[in-house]
Amino acid sequence: MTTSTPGMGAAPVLSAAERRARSNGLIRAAIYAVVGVLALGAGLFRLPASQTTTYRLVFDNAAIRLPDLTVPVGGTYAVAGVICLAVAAFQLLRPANLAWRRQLAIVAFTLIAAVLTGILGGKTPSLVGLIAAMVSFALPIVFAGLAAIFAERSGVFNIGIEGIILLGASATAVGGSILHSPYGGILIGVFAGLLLGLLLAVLSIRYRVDQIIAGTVLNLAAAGITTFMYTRILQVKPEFNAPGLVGTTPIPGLSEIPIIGPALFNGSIFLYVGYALIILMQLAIYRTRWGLRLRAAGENPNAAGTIGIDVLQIRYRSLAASGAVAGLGGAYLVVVSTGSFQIGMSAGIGFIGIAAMIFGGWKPVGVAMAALVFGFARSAESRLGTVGVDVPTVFLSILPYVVTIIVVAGLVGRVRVPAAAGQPYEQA
Amino acid sequence: MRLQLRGITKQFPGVLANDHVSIQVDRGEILALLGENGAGKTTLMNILSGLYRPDEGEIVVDDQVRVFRDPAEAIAAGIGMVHQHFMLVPVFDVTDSVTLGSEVVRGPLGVLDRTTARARIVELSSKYGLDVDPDARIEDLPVGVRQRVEILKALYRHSDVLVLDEPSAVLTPQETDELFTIIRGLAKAGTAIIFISHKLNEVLEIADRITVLRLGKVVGTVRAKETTSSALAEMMVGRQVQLTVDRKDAERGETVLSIKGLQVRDDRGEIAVRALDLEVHAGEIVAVAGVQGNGQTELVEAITGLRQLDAGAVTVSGQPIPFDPRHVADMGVAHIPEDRLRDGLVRGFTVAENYVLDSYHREPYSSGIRFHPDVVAAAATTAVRDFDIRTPSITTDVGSLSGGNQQKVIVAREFGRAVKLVVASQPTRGLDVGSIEYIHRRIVEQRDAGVAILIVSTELDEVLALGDRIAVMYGGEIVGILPAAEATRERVGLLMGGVR
Repeated sequence: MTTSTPGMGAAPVLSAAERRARSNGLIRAAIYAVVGVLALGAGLFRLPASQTTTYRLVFDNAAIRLPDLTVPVGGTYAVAGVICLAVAAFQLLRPANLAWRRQLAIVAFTLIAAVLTGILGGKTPSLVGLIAAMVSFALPIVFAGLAAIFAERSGVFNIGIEGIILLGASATAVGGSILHSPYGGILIGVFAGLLLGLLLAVLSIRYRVDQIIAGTVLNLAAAGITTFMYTRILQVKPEFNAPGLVGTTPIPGLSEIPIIGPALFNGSIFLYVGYALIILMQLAIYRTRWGLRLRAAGENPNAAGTIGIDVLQIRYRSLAASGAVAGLGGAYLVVVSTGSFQIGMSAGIGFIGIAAMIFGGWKPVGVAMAALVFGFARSAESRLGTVGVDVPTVFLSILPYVVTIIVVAGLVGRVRVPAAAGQPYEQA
Repeated sequence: MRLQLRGITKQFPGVLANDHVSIQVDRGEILALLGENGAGKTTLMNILSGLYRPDEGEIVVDDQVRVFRDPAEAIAAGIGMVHQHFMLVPVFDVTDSVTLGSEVVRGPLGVLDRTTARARIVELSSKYGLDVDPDARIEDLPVGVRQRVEILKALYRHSDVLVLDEPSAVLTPQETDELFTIIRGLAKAGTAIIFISHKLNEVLEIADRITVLRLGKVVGTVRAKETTSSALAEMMVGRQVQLTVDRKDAERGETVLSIKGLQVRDDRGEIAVRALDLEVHAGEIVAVAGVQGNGQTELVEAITGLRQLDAGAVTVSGQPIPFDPRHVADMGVAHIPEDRLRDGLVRGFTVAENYVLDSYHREPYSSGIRFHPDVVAAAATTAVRDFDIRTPSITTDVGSLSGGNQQKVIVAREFGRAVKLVVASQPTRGLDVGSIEYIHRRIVEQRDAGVAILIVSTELDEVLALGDRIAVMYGGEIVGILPAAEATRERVGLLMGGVR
């Protein structure tokens, strides 16, 4: 049969895809190397050798005490430079390596840490607080990213996640206030998200509205509706914007682990739901019948349809799930972060979630990792504010977006979109 | 198992696709459904597989009337379908692709049991001689193997009736032979086979009985042993058909098209044409044979200025061709593209507008910035008459014409100017026999007038009927050039499979 393979006439020449993977790898190696040399150079020659930053590793009330960690600024830069150079060297040796997302994440992480340490020179920031903030910034991004995965794996773009988060947040605030329970508010928020997901489904599946346009309209409508509601109702009657807060539930033992314990094991119910969602979705997508059919619907709906799988039903349900998870993200912002609804509080998280989905390769675990990188950048930025450093911190917050643009543009690696994403499916 | 379709009627807006069609196939029998494009074969099979509901008529399985509301019900009734365009997920492996929809699962959560599924597939493939690696990814498999995966899908679902829609369209002659062996084996094991095709020779070779469809109606059913290809062709078309093209020997003139060391990349950047040399002389037809996807598309695009050359040279009468289709057209190159609605015509434009797509910008159709629709209309009216284009008027949307008439609009336009070279890619794809005859005759007329002609076709019959010389492409290279006298079906077929 090998004789009849079209396009295989010439033997082991690299295919175009492999060549592209190679050249992308070389571009990455070059970028890492340049950054690494700059960091190393700055660390060794430019930064004052004596300046140090002292990280506090535990909270004051922690059961296990650890001494503070004092690191020299120059040394941190130098180490970051060496790490970047090492990744670059690894890339150079195996340019077509497929683990490029991981390497990119390592480089981004290292650089943020170095810049942070440099800016905080002479101060005593709390490392454990920094990590806790990273996780709490990452969590809503995870919800948005998982929402995006549900939709896109089934073959529908959900650009409206941002709007669903915003509307979910306002529904949570009002619902929680009326029910006098933040948990009731969460349910209302999730339910509102589910309905909005179904609305998108009806628009894009039944009426075949362009999916990008439908999502964009939803985002614009959400911004308008919630602003109107806030200024006309919630500001006039603040009792409708007081759903209360959901407390944290430490996991005994685990939450006492130094450095990471407070961040990973002393969170609200959202954190644990987030863990469960990441793991369950990861397993379900690749190991269950449901996941196989979901992927078939997103990759080749005709293949699924001709053997009797109801593709439209899968897409409706997936968009409902997508909306519900996005609504959960909105609820989080209200009952964990602020305790009330604020105008524009989604702050681009829906879009960052989509970016996290792409960066994470349409995989739940990948989304979690990407969200941590984005969360770390936000956390570093906000810490700088509290410590009172007079540096334009905007650079740190820009980094995740720059990374995303580079990833999405396919400049450094190949991304594989579900093949039928965005295409309406016509059932005969 | 006996399957009967009785009086099936299906009306689409403007077309009666099936008009009281009745067919029957028994256990172990191979029934061929023969008909031209648009005869209603595919509609009938979509009804059988539960994709469409018939307006009238019934499906009877073993004397029981069945109604299929969706594909799942048809599958449950034992009807398996191998679609012309494979219904596989490129990123899935063979096991997942075969089991999709009827997965082997454990527990209430539906956890996939891939080990059991894989074992079943291995067992099935050895039982029926379908050589397939259950762990291979679909996108890495050649089309012939993908087709076996499709057949496995049906067998895995315990299909008693296997419907194959134009299964040989994407195969080399040798792969087709392998497929026929598999089909005969399945029939022997008791499966009823419905084999849909428009190729006479194939149907005669494989089928026990042949039901011929024309314009949605059954013309008749004959035993394969008791009929001939010309009798079948007459049933299919409704009149006597000339299956061969009348023509005198070529009078070869000077070299018109010369290709040296050509290398071209496809859209993904892969090398699609490599180190290709070819010459076409005035007054001869060179036919390029090959299975689809072996670089023919890229070759034609390179010659007609639609695709940048990677290396090498293409000249027409000594002039190198530029990367500019209009300029190439002005050099006297006519192009009949393989996808007429993508590259040949503008859907939504009228017949007249499409007729002047190559020349609307110059005299006599335009002067300066002014365009002269009346001049265009006069020219188009003449062309419609000369080329026998069946259209309600010259202002009809070209998209509403039949495939044959669309092709005639292109031929009228391309042959309407002074031409030295004709590049025709799949010139008769999807056309009815009458239009095929017409297009072939026009092409041979051009040759006799001293034009150099390059035809690219995946239809072996067409290549053998038209070519004075036959070049075979495989993996982006020309693996052999045979004079018509030496080009037998077997030799060309072997070359198409890459065997030199």
